[in-house]
Amino acid sequence: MSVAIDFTGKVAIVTGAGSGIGRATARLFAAAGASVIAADRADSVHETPAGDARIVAHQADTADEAAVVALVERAEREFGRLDVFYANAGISGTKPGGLWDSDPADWAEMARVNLIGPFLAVKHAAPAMVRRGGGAIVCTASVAGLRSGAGPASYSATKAGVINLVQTAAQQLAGTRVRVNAICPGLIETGMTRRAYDYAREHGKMDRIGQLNPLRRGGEPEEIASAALFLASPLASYVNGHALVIDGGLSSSHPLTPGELARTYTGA
Amino acid sequence: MNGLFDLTGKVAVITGSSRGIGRAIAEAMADHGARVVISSRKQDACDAVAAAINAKHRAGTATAIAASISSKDALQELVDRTQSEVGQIDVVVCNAASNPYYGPMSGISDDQFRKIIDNNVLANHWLIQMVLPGMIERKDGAIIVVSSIGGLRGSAELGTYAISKAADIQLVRNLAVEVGRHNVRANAIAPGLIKTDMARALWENPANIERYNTTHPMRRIGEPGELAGAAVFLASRAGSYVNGQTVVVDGGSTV
Repeated sequence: MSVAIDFTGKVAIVTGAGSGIGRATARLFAAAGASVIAADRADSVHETPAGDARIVAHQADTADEAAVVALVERAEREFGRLDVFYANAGISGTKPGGLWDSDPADWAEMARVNLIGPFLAVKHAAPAMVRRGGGAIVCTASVAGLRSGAGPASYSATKAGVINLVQTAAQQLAGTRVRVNAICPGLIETGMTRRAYDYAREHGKMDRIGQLNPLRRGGEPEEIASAALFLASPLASYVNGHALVIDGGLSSSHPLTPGELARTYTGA
Repeated sequence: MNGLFDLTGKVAVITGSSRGIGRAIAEAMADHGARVVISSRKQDACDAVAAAINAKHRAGTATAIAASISSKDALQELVDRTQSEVGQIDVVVCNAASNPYYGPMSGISDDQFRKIIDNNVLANHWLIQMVLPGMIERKDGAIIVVSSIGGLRGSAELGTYAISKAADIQLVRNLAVEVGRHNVRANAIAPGLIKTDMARALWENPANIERYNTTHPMRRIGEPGELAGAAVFLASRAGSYVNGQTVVVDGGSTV
């Protein structure tokens, strides 16, 4: 086994690269030597870490099929290959309230971005990877997809869907040398959780962030990026169809107070 | 960047490391800069692996200390000698395990049942109990237990083994909750079918290997070295927020 994780000569697409986990991962893949296409929506693409020598920004709605096709085509046309697709773009919704406060339009948009996006990534990245002998697809799911209480209902349901997507994709891509895995982050300080962190800071309650967590802290985007790098690397050559949970132990424990988990996440 | 997976300055004790998965983990951890302690029942087998690692790296990278995991005294000696001869233990990999019985659970003897639970669960608990105080004191440590996908599914022939491996998954989950606040992380790895001596009966079975080569998502069984990456990830800074988890390394056979 080679000691250094070296992606020199490899090409990676990272979506949702304009913030948090995606941005950290784009930087890490570039630091490991990969050429990175950092994709995000029109309103966030300027936040991607393009400007780093090996990162190019790409504007795309990652739930739009034509846009995903174009994204994969750019990797092949401009860089000659596609080795890694990190389908990370996602939304968590901003409407407060419970299941009964949401409506089909909320669910449709959540499913479009969080589930159809990763589906399109698998659908179009896998054939490109097969063309050159293999590759790795990683999708961001969430601990919210494992059980209740860690996010809105629609968000949680789509993230559960992502976990099954990688299992089914791994099975259907049998024999292709394309591996498909998911990462289930716990509470990580990103644009998505900024409200909770800002609320905690403003109210002098930062000690409450991650208090239910065995490690007694929230996680950093870089701690998810390192897992994406691991899953895409030869270190994980026999890891396939797995949902790797990175939550400091949150989902291993019983929440101290039922419902408290959700309040910790939303800052409500 | 590669500092993320760097284990320079760390001391790792790996049980069952004269062969198979344990040896591959020890070699990979040494490749990533750790000093490793090679341990299994026979000293000469440990010596040979340590010598090979030292020849590849430099003298002192690997130290051979034989210990039978079924002896609490031997495990204590392993820990004491590691601490005095190598240094404080930063990483422990509970990899050694037994499986003396194949068949339906109706046929297993009490002694066989106890042997499996003793070696695969209680011995891990012993070793972890011995290394934890130092890790808690230093507010840093990584505990890795090698479980199995046997612990995730029912089995027609490996029932008690599967029970012991499920217990290992709960062992790390529980340790995560108990000691996570001290920045000590506990995780498991659940290998699928890997080409080791222990699993020889499974992969030398022509029907079984044929099934893997035609229906398994990766159309093959795994190699010991393919488990080592997960162990390095879990032991290193790259895995600093992974706690209480079981990383399945089975090529997708349980999807």
